[in-house]
Parts: sequence; structure tokens; C-alpha cells
Amino acid sequence: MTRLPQLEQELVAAAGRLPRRAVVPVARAAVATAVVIAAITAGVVVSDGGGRSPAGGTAPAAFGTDATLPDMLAVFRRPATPADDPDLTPADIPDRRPGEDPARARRIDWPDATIFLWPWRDGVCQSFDPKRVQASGTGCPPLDVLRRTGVAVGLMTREASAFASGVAVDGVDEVVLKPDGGRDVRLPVRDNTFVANLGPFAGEGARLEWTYAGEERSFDLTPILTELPAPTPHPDPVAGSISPPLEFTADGKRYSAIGFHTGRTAVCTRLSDRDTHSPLGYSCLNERLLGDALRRQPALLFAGGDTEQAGFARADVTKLTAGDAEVALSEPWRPEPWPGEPIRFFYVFAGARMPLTAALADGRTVEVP
Amino acid sequence: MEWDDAPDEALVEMARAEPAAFGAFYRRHEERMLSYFIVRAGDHEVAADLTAETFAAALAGAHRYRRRKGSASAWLFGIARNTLAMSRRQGRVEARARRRLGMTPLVLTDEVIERIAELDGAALELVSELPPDQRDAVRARVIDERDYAEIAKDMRCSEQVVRKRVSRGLENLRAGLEEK
Repeated sequence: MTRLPQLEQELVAAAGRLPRRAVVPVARAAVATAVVIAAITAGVVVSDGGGRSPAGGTAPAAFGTDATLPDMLAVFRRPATPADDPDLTPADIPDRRPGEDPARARRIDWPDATIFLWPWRDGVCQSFDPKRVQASGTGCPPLDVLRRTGVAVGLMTREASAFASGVAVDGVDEVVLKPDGGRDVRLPVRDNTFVANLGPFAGEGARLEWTYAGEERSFDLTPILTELPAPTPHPDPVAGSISPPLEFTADGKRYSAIGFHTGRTAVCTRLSDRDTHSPLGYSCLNERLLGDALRRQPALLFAGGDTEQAGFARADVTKLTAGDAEVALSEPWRPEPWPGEPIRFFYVFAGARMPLTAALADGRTVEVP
Repeated sequence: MEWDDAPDEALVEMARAEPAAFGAFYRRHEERMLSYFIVRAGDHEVAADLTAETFAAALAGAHRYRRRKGSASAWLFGIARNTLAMSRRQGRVEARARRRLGMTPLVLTDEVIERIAELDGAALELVSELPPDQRDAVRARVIDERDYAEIAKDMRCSEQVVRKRVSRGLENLRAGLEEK
């Protein structure tokens, strides 16, 4: 007999009530672009949607390869107003894409979030700021994604909240959120955007569905949701993953910082006040996104607060400079179970994003994108 | 019983087709899960509630379990960690999965509480096997529910050191419970 026989009976009964699922092939949508530029512990992943078999009937054709952003998104055909200004300068976007121009942004207000869209040469950037949650993120899907699938989905998590948002081309008027085991939620598309507040997402799966050019499209959020770090404001380090402390002084204040792995696919840094020992902030990044980024570039600045920004660098980075800002760079360490080479973490103390330069062990000096 | 010899992974995969399979999975992991939550929550009723929510979430998400991502036991404890973290943030034990499954609240009689309390011994035994600095920190923080600052003062070290000891101690306990 178990210690909680009532629970055992309830679980078996509940299992009996669950719908029997037919086994069908699941099309996993490919991740087209992954971008994380966010407040501490917030992450944005932008992906396109996979398509299913064509539906019958007459439907508008998909946009062709020559369709421009104003051709596809009506929001860019209306005149800009002062309210559309996102108050961003090029210095605020250190990894800006070719032709990226926040001065041509359009603002869309939703009850749960404020979204800014602005163009870059080959696509559109989406800045997403949920209300009541201290976070923000930006993703820049290529136009090709919109031409092919009609919708580019972004996902952002912060503490106990997760949001899906997206850009939808003209003609896509609705996106349906289908939570695992829950009721469908119909999301209207307004000014070519939509927002879904997923609420607490731990252990939950969901899918987005829409129709574009007569084809039913879907995007499975589950793999991304389950790969994101646990939504905790105070991530717990895995024993053995913690770096030696990096102790330094910046702007006259004494700091201590460590890097660690949460054991749930996130690598984090924690900054503390060295005198009071109180934590000042955590910055976490999905280990897959971090590994991908460090294969492409020597360092990645990914999180920012009011006075400092955090990032990770490869072990062969011997020094980082960011204008006249103070930069603290840790010794290399391996945040087990990190699968890659040893890495470093760093903090830049500056109120705004500064161009970052990395000195490498082989003597080269490179600009960090 | 029929499913008692089947591997964990098969029990989870069969949960929707054969409800008894999930019953076997529950019986196999119930004690370890209760012990895990007793150590972390320090309260028998809360531990029972967390256990119920964890198994409900596991049942609701069983169709998403994939062997290539790890053992069913590790998957279950991952759900347990999420359930605990979520409950700490919200200040109450989450019941979302149980509501979704239409399960009724647990009735915790004195007899049931006593049966859960018997597990204290196993959990405390593991605590006593921790390295002394971790053991003292875990006892002070988790069992006695003292503030970090107060513990740090007693141990004559920084609060950060105490947090690290507690964190490592709990991680070792978790590993011990999963191995047990």
C-alpha cells in the first residue's frame, strides 16, 4: 500500500480520462533566427512556422520573393507619428543588422505589451516589452520567413511569465494558441502583430496555428519552452558548476561575481555587492544559444541593467574593452555540465551599450558584433 | 502487479493507453518524491501536496516524455524541481495540473500524515551524511527555517557562503534521493 493511496487512485482514474492520442508525425518547425537581447534573464527566440497540407478553396497567394516590407505589412503603409518613436539610437543596438532603422518604427499597444516594429534590409525587427513584467526583448526575422509562412513567432520568458508574440502579414487575421490539454485561445492580429500571454509555462506545451495563402500553418512552442531555463528569479547553481569568484571594483563599488550552470540548460552569472554580500542580479542564457553564439563570435553581450551589462566570452579572449567603460573579465572555467570548451563571463559597467572589442590569445583584436 | 516489472520509461510512455502503468510508476517513486519534498519544504502536508501536483503534471505531460532526453526518473525529478520553484514563487502549492486532470484535493488524515512522517527518518539520515558544513547549513536553513543572515552570523561566515553550502547540500541530497 502506498502512503497516499487516494493520490494513486486519483492518478489512475485521471489517466483513464485522458484522450487517447493517435500517433501522427510531428513537424518540428525550424528555428530560423535566434536572438537574445534582453533585460536580465529574459530571452527571445524568433522562429518561423512549418506548413501543413494545402486546404481547398480559393485563397490569396503567398507573397512573392519581390514583396517588400510595406507590401506585406500594412502597418508600414500608414504615416509614422511621434508616438511611434522607440527612443533608440544606433548605440543602443550593438548587434544591429544591415539597414536596421529604429527611426522608422511603428508602435502597437496591446493590453499585455507594447510592440515596436522597424525595418532592416532583409527583414523586420520586433521589440517586445510586456507590461507589469520587467523585461524586454528583440528579434529580427528575415522577410523570407514572412513570405514563406506568413507569421514569425517570438517567444519571451521572464521569471514566472512567458509570452508569445509575432508579426503576421496582411491577410492573416487570427492566430490560435493551442495549449496542451487546455482550451484554444483565439488571438486577433492587429497592425500585423499579435500577443499571447502564456502565463507560467513550466512543464507546459503549446502550439500556434494560423492560415496563410490557403495553407494551415503551425508552430510548436513546446521544444523551445522546454529548452528554456527554469523560470526562477533566483536560479540555483548546480554543485560543481560554479566558477571561482571574480572580485573587482567599478565606479568605486566593490563587486563579486560568479558564473554557474543551473542544470536546466541555462548558464548564468550572478553579481553581488562584495561588502553586503547581497545579490544584485542574475543573468541567464540558454546554453544552446550561448554555444551557437560563441562558435560564431568571441564574446556575447546579452543582458543589461541600468548600470551594467553581462556577457560570456570564449576562453581565448584575454581582454575586453568597451570605450572608456570598466570591464571585468573572469578567468576561464567550465560550467559543468556545459558541453563545450571553457568560457569566461564578463561585466561592462556603462549606462548604455558600448562597442565591444576583444583581444584574443593569438594577438588579434576583433570587434564583437 | 501487472506493470511492476516494466521499466520506468515504458510506464510513462504507456500512461495514456494503460492507466495502470502510471499507477505502477507512481508506486515506484512515491516515497522518493515525498522524501525529496520533505527535505526541501520541511512540512508533511506541503510535501504531500507537492508530490500530488508533481505526479499530476507528469501524467499530463507524459506524452511529451522522450527517452533520448534522459531517464523517466530524471524527468520526474525535473518536474518536481519546477513544481517546487513555482510554488515558492507563488507562496502556495500550485494545483494547476490537478485541476486540469479533474482530480479532487488530497484528504490528509492523521493516519496519512503519520505515514508520511515515517519518511522523515530517511530524509534526515541523508542530511546527516552530508559534509559537516553543508549539513549544518541545510539543517539551519531548511529544517529550522532560519534566515541566511542569522545563520551566517552563527557560522561566522558570509551569507553568500551559507547560501552556497545550502545549495550544494540540497543538490547532494537530491542526488542521494534519486540514487536511493
